[in-house]
Amino acid sequence: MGRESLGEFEHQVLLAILRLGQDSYSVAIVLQLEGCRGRSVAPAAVYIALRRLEKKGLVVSRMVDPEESGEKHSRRYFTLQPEALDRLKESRDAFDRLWDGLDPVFGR
Amino acid sequence: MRSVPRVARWVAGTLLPRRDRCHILIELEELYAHRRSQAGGFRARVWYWWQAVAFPIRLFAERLLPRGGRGPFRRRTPRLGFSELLASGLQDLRYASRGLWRSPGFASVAVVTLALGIGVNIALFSVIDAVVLRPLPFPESHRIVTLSPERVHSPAQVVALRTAASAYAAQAASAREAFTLTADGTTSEFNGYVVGVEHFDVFGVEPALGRRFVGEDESPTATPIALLSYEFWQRHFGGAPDIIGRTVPIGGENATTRTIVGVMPRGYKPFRSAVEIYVPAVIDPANEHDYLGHARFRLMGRLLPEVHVDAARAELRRVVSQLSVGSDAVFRPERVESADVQRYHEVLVGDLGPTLWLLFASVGGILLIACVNVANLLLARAGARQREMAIRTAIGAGQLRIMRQLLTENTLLGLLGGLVGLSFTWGGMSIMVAHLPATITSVGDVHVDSTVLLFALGLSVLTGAMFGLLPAWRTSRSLAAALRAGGRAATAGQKRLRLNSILVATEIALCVVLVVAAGLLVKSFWRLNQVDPGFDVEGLSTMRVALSPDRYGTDEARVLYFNRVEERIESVPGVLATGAIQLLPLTQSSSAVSISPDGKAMAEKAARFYASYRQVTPGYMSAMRIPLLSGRQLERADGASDPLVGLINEALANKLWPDGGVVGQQVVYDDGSPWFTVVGVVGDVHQNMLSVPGREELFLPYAQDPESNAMYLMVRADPGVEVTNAVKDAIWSVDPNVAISRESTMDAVIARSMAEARFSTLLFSTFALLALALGAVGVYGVLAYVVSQRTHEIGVRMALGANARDVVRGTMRSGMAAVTIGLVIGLLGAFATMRLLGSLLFGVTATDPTVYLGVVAVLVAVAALATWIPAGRAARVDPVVSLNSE
Repeated sequence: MGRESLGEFEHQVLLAILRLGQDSYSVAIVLQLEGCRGRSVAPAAVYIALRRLEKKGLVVSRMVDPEESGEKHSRRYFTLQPEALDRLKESRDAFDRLWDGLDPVFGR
Repeated sequence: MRSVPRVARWVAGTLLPRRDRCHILIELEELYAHRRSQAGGFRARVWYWWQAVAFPIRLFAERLLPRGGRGPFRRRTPRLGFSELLASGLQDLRYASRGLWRSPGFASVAVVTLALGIGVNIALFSVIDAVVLRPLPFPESHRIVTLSPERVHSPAQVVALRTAASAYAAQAASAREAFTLTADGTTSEFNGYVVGVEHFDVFGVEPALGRRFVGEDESPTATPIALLSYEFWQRHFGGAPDIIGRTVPIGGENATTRTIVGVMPRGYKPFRSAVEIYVPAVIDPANEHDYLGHARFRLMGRLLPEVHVDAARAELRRVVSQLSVGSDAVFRPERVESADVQRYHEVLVGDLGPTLWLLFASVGGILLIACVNVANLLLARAGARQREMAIRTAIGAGQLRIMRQLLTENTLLGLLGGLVGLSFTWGGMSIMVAHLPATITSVGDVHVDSTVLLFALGLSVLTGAMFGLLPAWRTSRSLAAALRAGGRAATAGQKRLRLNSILVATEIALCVVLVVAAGLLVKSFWRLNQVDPGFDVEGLSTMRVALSPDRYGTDEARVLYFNRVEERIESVPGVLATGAIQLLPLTQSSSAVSISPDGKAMAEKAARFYASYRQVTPGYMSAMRIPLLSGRQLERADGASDPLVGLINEALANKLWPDGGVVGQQVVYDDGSPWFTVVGVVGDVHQNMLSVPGREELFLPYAQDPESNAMYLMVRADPGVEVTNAVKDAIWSVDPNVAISRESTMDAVIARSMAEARFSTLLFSTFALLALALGAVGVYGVLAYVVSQRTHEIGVRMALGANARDVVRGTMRSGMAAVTIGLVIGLLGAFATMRLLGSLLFGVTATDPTVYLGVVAVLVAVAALATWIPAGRAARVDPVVSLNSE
């Protein structure tokens, strides 16, 4: 495998960032994941995943000062890199192909 | 928003790497607020505590075991995930408990040592939690502040600040007063407070029954009213629901009866002392002497939500400085300097805060000593377990795996120690609370709660890591060497000896710091005991007699009553002298009046000069044996219709008439009108506390100023003769219905004034002794181990002709070398840190040479004993036996 593979959790974090758009900072990501997964998410896991994704070049972050954001504290906002979008799309296509024709198995 | 659990935040802040700390803490706080709104406070707190511990651990694990990513199609590497770590941790735990079970001697010594160290920490933390960490039990209590806590204010100042200062949602004056309640003909006295009408807004409280005070209640023409504490209502009125509107014979503050308008909530305790009765502060600008000159109110406020204490302080300085100029100034210009705003919690905690943190640091030192001791035990045990570790390595365990297993064992030891320590604390809690000074128990209720339990848990785990890390690392690292040695027990190498010396030096250094602190405090306490209070304590006792204001409504009746009581008491066998005063010395209560220092009317009323004043009966000075320095004593002949006279103390005499010729001079009010003639000068008395010298004071004959309806009777009796009951009978023989309270010897009054000093001295000394004992055991343990490891070498040397004395000397020298290094480091540490004791010390400097020398002598003696025992054992080594053992 030429490039490092994407973990399941990292995959979810990327999707959460995508869903949040402009507002994707870590607390919002934790809450988004919790909302979608229906169970609690360790903030440390998100923190570590974000750091790893940044190292892999799939996301970039920028600090926003309180004056700019109107919040109390400065925050680190995350944005997806084009490569992350490609990876997500590839993965989705692969899954779709695999799922294709399997609906009857699940009685749908 | 309620803030996150403080202790947990501190734990997280300490454990998280500095680079990420700030951000992570803010994030956790935000998530905490979210959880709080979703799942409630308790679950949010539990969640926060878990994150405070788990977040740093996960970050640490990530750094230690970075994962390359693990996709669904990738084969799992042997690197462990969180759940696998947990599973193997449980396996380690099972193995560790079996190991400890198999060596009960080692386990019990280690657990007891740790229990002592952790136990004292838990005990002290429970006090700190109650006093410093837990917020006061009022809504948004951080907004409650005290204005110029060192100062009392006159009604004029209270009114001026209320209109001029804008940082407050509410401001209220308060002054402690005694009130009488007459029931069935018998009068009893109770603690009460005169409070401003906004008291209820300041503390965020409403009466449980009835109404609060309103603006009209401040007026001098309003009907006298009172609010009762819940407890007082239950005790004296059986919780009668029809109490509201009833007129009750509560006397004091210019009234003989009061209408009850409400009952405060159960357990409501706004001030340090218990309050039974609240009455509104009456403000009467027409009564100019009282309005301008009688400073007795403490001033408190509730800050507006957005105002910070610093801003309020700056504003108060500005306002006081504006109010100190011009013809209608109400403050002296120098009051600008002392204008201050402090959080009420800090005012209540006062000097206790720093004392408690210092004590906490010292129990931290004890825990470190305990850790060093256990670390040493573990190192000794590691030698014995090297073979086991070698085998485990040989069958495939990595260094990390072995280290983890050893750390699990140590954490288990730490937890067991914590459990035993906690049970010590739990068991001793009631004894400890009983010995705490009232200044602590009045701030917070000391008990073991969830915060203390979590602290105990955290500390136990941390302790396990602290004492276990070094031995675990060393043991797991030196395995290759052990394997090469063929599994034979390793000998004490050069490195091992150096480590032993470091351990000994560390213990001694910690001991020195703790023992120096204790030594300084003991000496300071001794000095405090040596202070002459200004009167003769032996055989002197006191009791407070309060008259009901309706039956003793006139000045003549009160003066006559106390004259007759004194006559009766003087006829009691064993009584030598008696007298009365309205405020007892050394109880921190005082009353001040403004006089003119140069005898002329003061152009600027703001430039007032205050002297403390007390009314006394003629017998007071001789009963107290306060020396008369010049002039005459007060006499019965100085009656209400005679010219006003008074005594002043030496401090005031020196201030007003430094050139002498004091007797016969006039003391003049600040408006220039004459007040009284000085007939005598008396010695200074410590009015507030022993550590503060006597201040300017004047004494007026009670007969000429019988304002107070309660006096403290001072009774001097033959030493060793018990007269209290006979004196009480004599008092009741004049009138069986007066209230007698606060009976005490003056010895006990002085002891109470030193309660805080005694508390810190006692605790520091106890901790120092504990440290010394643990340190001595530790030094002994280290050297005993060294000797046991060197048996072979000593045997060889003795076989080659060394005699017993050489062996003893050699062993002791190597031990004492480490001790000396520890002493030097400890003394340097003590020099650097003893400044922190500053405010606790009296009559002794932080670098007092006798204390330091004494500590060195004690420690050298203890250390010499601890090294001599193993050295003696070394000298008895039989060369044949030791060589055969190889």
